[in-house]
Amino acid sequence: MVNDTGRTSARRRMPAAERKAQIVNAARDMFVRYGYSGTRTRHIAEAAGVTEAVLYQHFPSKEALFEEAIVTVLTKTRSDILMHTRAVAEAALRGDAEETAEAEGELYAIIDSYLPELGAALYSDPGYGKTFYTQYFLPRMQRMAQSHSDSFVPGEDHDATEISRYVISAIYGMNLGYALHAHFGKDAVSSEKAVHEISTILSSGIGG
Amino acid sequence: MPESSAKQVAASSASSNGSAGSGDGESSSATDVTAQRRHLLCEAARSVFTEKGWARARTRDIAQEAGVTETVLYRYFPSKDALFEAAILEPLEGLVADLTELEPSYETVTLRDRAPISDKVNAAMHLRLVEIAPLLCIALFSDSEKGKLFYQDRVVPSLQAASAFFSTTLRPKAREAVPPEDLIIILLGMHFAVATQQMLSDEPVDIALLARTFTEIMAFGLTRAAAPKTATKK
Repeated sequence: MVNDTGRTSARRRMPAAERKAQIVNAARDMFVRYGYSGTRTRHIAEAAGVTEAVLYQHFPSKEALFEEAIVTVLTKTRSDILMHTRAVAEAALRGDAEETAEAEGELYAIIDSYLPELGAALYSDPGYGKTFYTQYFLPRMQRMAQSHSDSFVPGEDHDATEISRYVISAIYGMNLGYALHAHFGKDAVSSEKAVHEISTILSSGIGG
Repeated sequence: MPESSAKQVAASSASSNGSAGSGDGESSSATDVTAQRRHLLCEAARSVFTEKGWARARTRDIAQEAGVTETVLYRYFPSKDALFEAAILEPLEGLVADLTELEPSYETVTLRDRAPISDKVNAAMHLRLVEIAPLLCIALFSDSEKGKLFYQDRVVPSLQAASAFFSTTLRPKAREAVPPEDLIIILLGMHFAVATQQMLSDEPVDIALLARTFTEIMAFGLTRAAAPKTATKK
């Protein structure tokens, strides 16, 4: 490393935890913008104002950094998404429009605010996305589809589990559609309107 | 390479390869060959981009997969960027064509016979989104600032074209509850979710059951969608 005494000693004064947080923040920004495979540790280091060597003192690999910056955040998000999806489905099945709308509002808020992280983890790199999805989402979704095929769909046959799976995907997808449109488009549908429309469809449909 | 020669055979024999409403099996004129080549190159591009991602996909590999030389590829597409765009826009435009083709059938049916047509709409959307999803992921999430431009300049026009379909086919009451321009966002989101799940897990999708479930959710909400299908089948 080039010896740049003044600057290095100034950097050394920063507590390790603070520097680590700075690296994680920079990593989050880069991963969210460029995805998993499009981000290089060198660029994260630059954005965090540290050398790559310093970065590697805190994190052994890009993957470790991704885990810390993106995946840990999503661990809680995943549970919240599944929990609220279930709440939306159960309320809609009871025909309780008010409660459907309430649960749907919470679901949309989560998907909308964590779309960048979800995008980085699931959709930015086919290889990484597969690993992440099959490890983090799939088993829980399958369990949910199975355990709720009873309440979603009477009967225990193959179809019931399949339909439950499509119902879960439909609820997630409706929210994802609006969230994508809000993040990438120019004319976002307001979240109130999105939530209202989704709840209307789920609780009573819009007619054949 | 057996795969590329198989593709060449496919190119010379098949005229309408999944693109609804095009090709009528006439003798291959120069324009037919051009259209077929374009289609083959787009197909090859989808498969190579899906497998390798944006950065590692090479035009040489795409040309090889399509059974042509790189020189031929560049005659059709000036750059990797242009080919990528065409590869993703082709199925999007195909989707609009699918919907346009299904549109007249809504006019002639009674209310209760609308469902099978809506099933077809959902099945078509599923198949198109399976084609589009991997590249759409790359376009949006490998550089989110560029992704915004791509979405606004390329995806939104297709959304508008597709929502025109719902403006004419939806009944007034439905239009009031969810305007067509929102409905297309909802439906694409639903199908994007299923297509990406399939892409990430290789879980097979029962297209008929999926289409039926989505049709019923949209028309009647979850209660009806969750009713056992075997009992409602004729």
